[in-house]
Amino acid sequence: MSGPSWRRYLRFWGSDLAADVDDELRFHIESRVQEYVDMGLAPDSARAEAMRRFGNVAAVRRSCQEIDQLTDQERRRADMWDALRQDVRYAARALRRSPGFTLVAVLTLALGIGANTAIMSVVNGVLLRPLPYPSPDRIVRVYTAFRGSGTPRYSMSQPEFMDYKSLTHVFENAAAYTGATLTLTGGCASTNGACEPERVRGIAATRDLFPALGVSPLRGRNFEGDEGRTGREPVVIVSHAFWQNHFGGSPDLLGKVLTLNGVSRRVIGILPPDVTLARADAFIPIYINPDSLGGRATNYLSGVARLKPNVTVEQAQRELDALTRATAAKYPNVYPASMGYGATVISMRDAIVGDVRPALLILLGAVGLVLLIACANVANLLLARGEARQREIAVRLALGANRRRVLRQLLTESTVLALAGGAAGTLLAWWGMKALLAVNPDAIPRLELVHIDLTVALATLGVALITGLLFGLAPALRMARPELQSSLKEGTRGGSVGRAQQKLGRLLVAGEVALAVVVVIGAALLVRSFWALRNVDPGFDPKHVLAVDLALPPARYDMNAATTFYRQLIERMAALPGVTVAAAASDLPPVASGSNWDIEILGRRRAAGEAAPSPNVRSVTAGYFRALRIQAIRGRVFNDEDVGSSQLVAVINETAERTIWRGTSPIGQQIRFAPDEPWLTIVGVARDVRSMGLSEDVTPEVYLLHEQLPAITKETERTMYVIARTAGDAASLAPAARRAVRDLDPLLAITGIRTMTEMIDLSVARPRFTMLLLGVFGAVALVLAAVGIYGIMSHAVKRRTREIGIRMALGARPADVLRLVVGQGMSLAGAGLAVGVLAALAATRLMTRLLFGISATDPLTFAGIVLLLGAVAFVASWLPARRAVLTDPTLALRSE
Amino acid sequence: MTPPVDLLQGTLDVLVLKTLSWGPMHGYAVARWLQQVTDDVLQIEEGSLYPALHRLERRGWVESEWGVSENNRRAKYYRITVEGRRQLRAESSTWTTFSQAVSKVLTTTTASV
Repeated sequence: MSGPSWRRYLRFWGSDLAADVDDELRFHIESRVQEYVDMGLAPDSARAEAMRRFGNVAAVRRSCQEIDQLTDQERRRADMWDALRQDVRYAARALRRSPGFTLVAVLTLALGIGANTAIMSVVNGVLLRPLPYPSPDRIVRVYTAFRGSGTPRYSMSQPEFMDYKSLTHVFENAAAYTGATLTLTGGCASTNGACEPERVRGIAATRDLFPALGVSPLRGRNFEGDEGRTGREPVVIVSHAFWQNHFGGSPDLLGKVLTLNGVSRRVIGILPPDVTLARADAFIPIYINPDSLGGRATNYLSGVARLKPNVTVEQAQRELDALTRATAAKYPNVYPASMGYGATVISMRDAIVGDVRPALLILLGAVGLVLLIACANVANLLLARGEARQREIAVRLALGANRRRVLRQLLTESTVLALAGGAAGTLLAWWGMKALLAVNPDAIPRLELVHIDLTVALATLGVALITGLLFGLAPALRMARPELQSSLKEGTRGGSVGRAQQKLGRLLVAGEVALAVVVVIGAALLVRSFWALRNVDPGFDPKHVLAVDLALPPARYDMNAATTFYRQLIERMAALPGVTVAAAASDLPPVASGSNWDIEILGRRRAAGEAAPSPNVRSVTAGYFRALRIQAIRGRVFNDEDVGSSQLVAVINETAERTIWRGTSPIGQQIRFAPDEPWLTIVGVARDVRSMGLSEDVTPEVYLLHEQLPAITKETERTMYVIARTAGDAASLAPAARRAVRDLDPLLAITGIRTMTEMIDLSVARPRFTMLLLGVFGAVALVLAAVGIYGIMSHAVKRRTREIGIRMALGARPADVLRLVVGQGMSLAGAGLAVGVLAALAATRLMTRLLFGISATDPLTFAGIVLLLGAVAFVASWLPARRAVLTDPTLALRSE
Repeated sequence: MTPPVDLLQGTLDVLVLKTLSWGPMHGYAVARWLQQVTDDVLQIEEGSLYPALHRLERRGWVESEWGVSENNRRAKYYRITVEGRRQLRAESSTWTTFSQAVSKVLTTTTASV
């Protein structure tokens, strides 16, 4: 036979399909040639005849090879599946044989994977899922910025909005809107169209709002022309949810007339279901008349715009920078240089979730560490188990199983474990997320969109598989490479292999202690930060105070009626049993939104380029300071005589005194808000109150007397909180307060009714949310680390039972043995702690933005956690040591 | 000598299976056997046997093994499988029915039934 004979050796590694076909065909032709030669033909013509009878050799060879290739592929695939099925069956059997090990491993993995699934779901739903609008990346929020006072995102005034909108080469559409509190009183689905008065979340928007979002109404139409202008027919567009909840999705809502804030508005559109802009239910048009714009300093509009295709947020920002620089130069009186006037543009998504991103990323990092700890634990379990199985594997190798096959078998086992852990973890995550949503849905925007979807499920599967490799590979490599001889000869204990495995085990435990240090320190910092936040002195006493949120519809309440209504309501509330004082305020700590008014101080001239002081202004009734127990530091707060007095009065806070009056006494000084408004006399300085939130710095504030507002601004405030301090439980006052409001105006809806303690709790909902989660993860990390140390130490002690027995028999005291074992455990933990502290020093730096009132490297926290973990490590190694000491030495000696 | 008959692929498969039902043999032996039994009426292009054999192997109707031929050369031997015998039975009965029907038509002498 011709052809290179070496090729046949290739078959040792696998069949060579092409060569086989060649050999087969060659055999046929040679046989035929031989036959013809035997019949007497000349070799040449014999070969020619054989070839003729055979036909097209090349074509036959090609088609044979093609068929063989397919056969071969199929066979390989079948073999592989067969082997896999076999491996999985074997793994399942092996795991079933040791249910204790399996249970602990699956639970550990479920904790690690479940935490990851839950947080990945949140990150996916909140941060990654696009907004439900077409080309959502082009939707941006636009703000006026006053960088001089550290306010990069402020509302816009009408002229400012028109300026920004004029950048038509940047914005395809630009819209302005403002929140509107609406009360629905007529047009409901009831027989006579009457409504139980109800507050509806509303938005008043220019007609570009929906085009900018890229949304068209599901039914009906968008705002058109100059709708919203005085004199045009009032119209309203409602949300899908409103349509469903109030009208059961009935198609004849279009064209119906709803009474909102006393105005009859025709429904012209219904939005598609996924538009949940600020969770508003009713959208009414506002018309900005370019010929009579409002004041430049009257900022109340929010901006939404759609960028032109191929315009980036950065480009838009540069264009706005140039525009606002020019504007500031044009109106130096409105925008003094020190104000740092500008504009800010950021993507809509960042505007919605930008604040929670750091918290979520920290949590994602924490669960990643927890998963690593879980992996280290399971790897250790596998190692310990591997020692027991050393003989089994050595036998399998001796009986001819190849190393790769054994390795694959072991990895299959860990993968089966990981997948089981993944399945259990998904259940855990599903359950955990229900708990998460129950903790507080308002703490994180878009949290209601979070669920375990395909993306998350796939990610979990990926995590589980990687996990299986992570914890399975090292032990498997270790176990598939036993020195065959020694393993068979030796007992199951001791030996070089055992020592190497122990070393790996110690490394894993030290590593997981280090990881646990990072997670637990992070959690402890957040807990302490939250503690600090809750212990901030808010500057007022929130206990025993009930707050009722009201908005009087301007259509039914003129200035005098509004003033009278609040005076009467306060009187009625004050008369309720248990109530010591009642009052009203346009804004309440700690959730004040704040509106800043420029003030002019009588007798003080501003230097060129100096901005007018712009304190936060709110109006309150005389009882406000008593109701919240805010003390006067100097002078006095408002009293009842001020109400009827012709002298207009104001009270400022400490920060205003310090920053605006800078050492001079403000008492008796006069201020005004506009040249055409009267002067007010400052009568006192009140204590600082954390109006904007417990973690926010106090800003300068000016209190006006609500009853004097008409005399000052020729307007009044219709949206007020009415508060009442009671001797007893504030929450139980709520029904009586509702009745008091209904008695005065049956058509008025109550927006909210809460105790002030609740309001404070709500204001810290997000830090609490982050703290709770990280706290849970910290606890999990701590438990896993403790289990890890306990596991490795009790295993080590078990291996050394005989040695300990000998030591004891030779007269070692129990204390010596305890010291020996515990010392070993502690040196392990000590190494982990040292590395962990260094890692934590680097990692907690990332948390700085989440912390309040505590440094990211707070020495007390670090020391405390090191002590805590040290104590846990001590107990975890002391328990097995004590067991060893208590063992009868004679038993211990025979234990081999 | 009658002129050679064109062979359908499926027919060749049945013939090969039938041949192998007598015992394992290599491709050249299959060719020789078919040649002898049919008295060279079926002029099979010998090469076309091989794709047929490989196809049958892929379907699991025959299996192959390398062995040594009568004259001491390395040759690939094919053996019919249980599955292959079942297939052969099914195909032969179909063929018999078919050929009986065809010959009935061809041998009928009256124009009407």
